Amino acid sequence: MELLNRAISGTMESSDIMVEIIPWDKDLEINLKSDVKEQYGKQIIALVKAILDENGVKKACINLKDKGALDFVISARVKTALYRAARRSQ
Amino acid sequence: MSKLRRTMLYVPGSKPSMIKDIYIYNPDSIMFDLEDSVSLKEKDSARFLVSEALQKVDYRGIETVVRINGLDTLFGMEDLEIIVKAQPDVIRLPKTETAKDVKEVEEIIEKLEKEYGIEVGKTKMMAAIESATGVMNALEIANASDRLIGIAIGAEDYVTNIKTKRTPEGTELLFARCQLLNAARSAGIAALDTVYSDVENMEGFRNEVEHIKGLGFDGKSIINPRQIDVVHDVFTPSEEEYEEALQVIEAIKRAEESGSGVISLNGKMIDKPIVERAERIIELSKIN
Amino acid sequence: MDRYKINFKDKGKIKRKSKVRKNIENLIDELEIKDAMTISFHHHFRNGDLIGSMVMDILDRKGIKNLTIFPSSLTSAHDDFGKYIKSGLIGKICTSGLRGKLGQDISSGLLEEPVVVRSHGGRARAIVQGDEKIDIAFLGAPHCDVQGNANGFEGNSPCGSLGYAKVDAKYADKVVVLTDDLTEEIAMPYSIPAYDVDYIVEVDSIGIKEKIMSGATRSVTNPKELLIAKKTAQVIEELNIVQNNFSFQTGSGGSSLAVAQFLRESMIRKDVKADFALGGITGHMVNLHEEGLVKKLLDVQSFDLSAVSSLKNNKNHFEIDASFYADISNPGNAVNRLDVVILSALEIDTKFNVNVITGSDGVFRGASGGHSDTAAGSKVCIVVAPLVRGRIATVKEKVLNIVTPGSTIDVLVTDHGVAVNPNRKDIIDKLKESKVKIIDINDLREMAEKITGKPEKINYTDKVVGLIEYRDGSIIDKVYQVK
Repeated sequence: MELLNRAISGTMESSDIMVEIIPWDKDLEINLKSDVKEQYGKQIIALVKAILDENGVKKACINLKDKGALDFVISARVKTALYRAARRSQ
Repeated sequence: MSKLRRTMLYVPGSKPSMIKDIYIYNPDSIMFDLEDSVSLKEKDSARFLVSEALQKVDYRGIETVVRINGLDTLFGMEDLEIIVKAQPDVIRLPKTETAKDVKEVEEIIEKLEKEYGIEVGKTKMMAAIESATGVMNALEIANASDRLIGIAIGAEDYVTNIKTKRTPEGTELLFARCQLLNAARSAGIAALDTVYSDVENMEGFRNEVEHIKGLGFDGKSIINPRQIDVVHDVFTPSEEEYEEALQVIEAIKRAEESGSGVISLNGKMIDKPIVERAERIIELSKIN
Repeated sequence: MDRYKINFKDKGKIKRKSKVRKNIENLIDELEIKDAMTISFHHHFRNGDLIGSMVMDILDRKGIKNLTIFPSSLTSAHDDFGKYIKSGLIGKICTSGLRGKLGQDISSGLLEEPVVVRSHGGRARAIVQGDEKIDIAFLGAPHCDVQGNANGFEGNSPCGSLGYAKVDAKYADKVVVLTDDLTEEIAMPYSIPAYDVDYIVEVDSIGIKEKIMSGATRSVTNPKELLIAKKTAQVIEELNIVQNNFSFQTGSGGSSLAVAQFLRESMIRKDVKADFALGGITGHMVNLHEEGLVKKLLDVQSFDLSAVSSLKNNKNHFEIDASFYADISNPGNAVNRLDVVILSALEIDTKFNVNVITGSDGVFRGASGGHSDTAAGSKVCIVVAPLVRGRIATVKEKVLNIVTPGSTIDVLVTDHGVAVNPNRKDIIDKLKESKVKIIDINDLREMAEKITGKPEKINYTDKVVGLIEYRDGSIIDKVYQVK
């Protein structure tokens, strides 16, 4: 998947996560802010990485602001952000 | 017994906090909405969210329905592509006007089922009728596809279309409701009533539920979990109804055992429709 | 014949000595506060409290060190107390609640000495039995006369009951009342009697009115809270608790408030009246009282303005102190008469142990409150909680910290099902024959983990930052520093 522009998905509401994808030339960087970072931080990052891998995304900066989202929400928000980032002009 | 559809609980497809555990309220069906409750900006995200939820959340065997955007919008086609793959029980079409509307969607669903390796015909359909044209075509719509499990009336658009507004008595909806109900019964599918949007007015809500139950509807779309109890309560047979139904069944048994042709109970003749109704009452009672 | 000696010495008219001092600054000099003393506050002003910071600021400026602060609880109003720990003013903290920034500071090891966490009844017991001696109590009062008679239901920023402060007033060595409504007129009825008061200071403001309490009685519309409340009401119904002269306590959480509404319907249907409602009093309970459904309100803490005005106007709305409320050493305590209590939980484990003091990250973010007191005293104790909050499971294999032992918790009602403590065979038997479906608590735990995924273990150091004291004074658990 080719990322064309910066994209955001999700909200800062409880049980949601805000995902920002910034395409760049450097290696993948994932930054996570989360209410449950201690308990689930590693799992969240692994999940996000797996989705990026599936879509062949290797060069991007991903910023995550998590408000206790469950895995299915995280997947959906990352997929939405990718979908938006891969579209020309919004 | 056929599947109960007393309550179809709406949940906006854009709200993770509601989607994640809406099953705790135990409605008969859950309807994830991609259409009117989702803003144009969030059509894509809602689609992904509902798709992921259908695949990963355990909805405890409750029927899952997804209301997609119409094929005449920018979103309908993509909704189908993503949602069919996630395998909800039912896809609900909004603003259906003709049998062709149903058939078009059916064709796409079939194509997608084949593409995704899903058993053809597994994805059921529902059609919402929300205009005068749709109401007039109710019968052809109800018969348009074997996938249809029911038709529903969407009153807000409909009353605007016929140039009136909703009233507590619902006189303006009587024709549409009856037309739709008879179309559904003729086609052998479920008839579902529209939402009641004033969540605070429980008395008005109960009146409406009693009204549509009396007309013959199977159930109602609802917008808040707080409305579930009222609908289930109205649709639960009273103890007298239950006792009477039991007596009917007993009388039948006795008649069969004695080989008597004519069956009567307390001086009234019991015929087939009475027996059917009694059976349904007993089954409904067992659920609660 | 010397048996009846005349020893009268004529002193004339009493010279009145005023207890009123101009400002706290001077009073503190007069009090000769020394390092390592114990001072106390109450938390009836909740998040709106200005007294704590007012007093601590002055003590800090005077260079006092190593005080034990012994408030009935700490709220967000005390978020910045970390600065007094850093300056050396605070050497030890005893409290019921600890949360926000201060909670984080303590959990990360800012204070050398562990915080002692007590229940409301436990604190009263510690004071009454002399485990803790309060040198000076600084008690904010919304209304006070020049002799020191004080109450909480009049004045500019009323808080209603002063139930926690009453114990301090009675037992502290020196009692200072701080008020922003000082009157010449005698303040009757009083919550704190003048004979318990040594000094009075008038201040600009004791608290931020809006933060002291909510104006309106909160009506519950959240469907999840209503669902839990409905299930709880079903349990109460099936256990046949609602009978003439029964008693109950509900908290201020949404589900708990809604239970009160369901109780109302049940009482009307059965045509019975409750003897009393206990604890923190809300507008919902006031409504029940004024409707004649609940005969008496026993109020240790008023939650809204409707409770405040009821305390002022209704003769059967009684202000009670924390010892009367829940002190295990007080043979007449009210919790021991409770038929049913509805409680909340941050975490509950498969042994029914409850944590209401630390979050799932191990950090202080709650309060012991009357939890363990009412659980132990009541005939039936029902914990209500959603199975999962955000991504955090409420039902776990083991709680991070125990505040209330599982042996005193009888029923757990969640949005995903109802579990009953196996040691309550009587309850299980009754519910088995009813519409209420019982789920094994282990199944609830499994359900929760399926939803949230398995969390990582919390990283603790071996430094103890908190001791959780049970209501009898024994230590029930330790809280460790979080890495």
